[in-house]
Amino acid sequence: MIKLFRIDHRLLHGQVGFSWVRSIGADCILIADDDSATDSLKLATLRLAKPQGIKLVVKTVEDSIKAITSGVTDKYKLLIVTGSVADAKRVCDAIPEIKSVNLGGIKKREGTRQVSQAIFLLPEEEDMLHELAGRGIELEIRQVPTETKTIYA
Amino acid sequence: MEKRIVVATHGRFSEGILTSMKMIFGDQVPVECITAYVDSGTDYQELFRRTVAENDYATTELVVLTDVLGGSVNNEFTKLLDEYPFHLVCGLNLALLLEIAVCPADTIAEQLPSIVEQAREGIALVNDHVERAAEADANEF
Repeated sequence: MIKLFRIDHRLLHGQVGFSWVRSIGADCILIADDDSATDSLKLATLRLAKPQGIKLVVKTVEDSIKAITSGVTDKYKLLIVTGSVADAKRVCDAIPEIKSVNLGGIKKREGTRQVSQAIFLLPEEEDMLHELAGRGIELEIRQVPTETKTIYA
Repeated sequence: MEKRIVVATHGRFSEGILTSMKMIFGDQVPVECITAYVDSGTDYQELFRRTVAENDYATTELVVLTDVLGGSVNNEFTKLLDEYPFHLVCGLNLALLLEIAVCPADTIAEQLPSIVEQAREGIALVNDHVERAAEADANEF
């Protein structure tokens, strides 16, 4: 089952591999990211960041969706991370089981609006998030699990 | 059982590593820090002694983390091991501190040896690791 679905441009790092994994009791991390799945150095870097005793799978967004819908991930307490709002929207569109999205970190870019300390959104990203919120999906901003949830939109 | 963590270092390393810890882990585990030898008017030997002496060992496991084996902070705490049943760990780094912070108080005494061993594995020449890491385990469910 999916324990946490997170958007974080840094994908797998200390906040995720240490704090979130423990907080939600995850036993498997799925990184749904096209670049990481196809770039060998990026993949190796993620493998190095893998917490001990936790399974790590890195797939393209499309292959991630296929894996989740096929049922092979059902036996895991799964933490899914995507690197962008657009990728997260693709996953949410395909997997209606996802009822909550954790906004962990989205970096500043040209034209973004700062929404919280670590969340910067382009207008088109805000549109996508509003669409998800309109479907009843919770969009909560937290870098680490001990923070209080701030709800976006 | 309760758990008390004290980080004691030469200078402000202890303060700095706490800010790093909070970034990753939030603000949930209290950690005391000692920035040794920063103030020339303070008797640090006495401060170290007071730190371990004031602990109630019947209710509280005390873990002291120091920066470097052979440094004076660690040397001074080592001298106190005869008198007080605290745990002394040197070679402070962030992985070590985080693992100690999340370890339940009831099992910290028993888990400290493996926490230290695991933290040792976190010190690595990454250049050599990165190729092996790519082929380490299957990228499938």
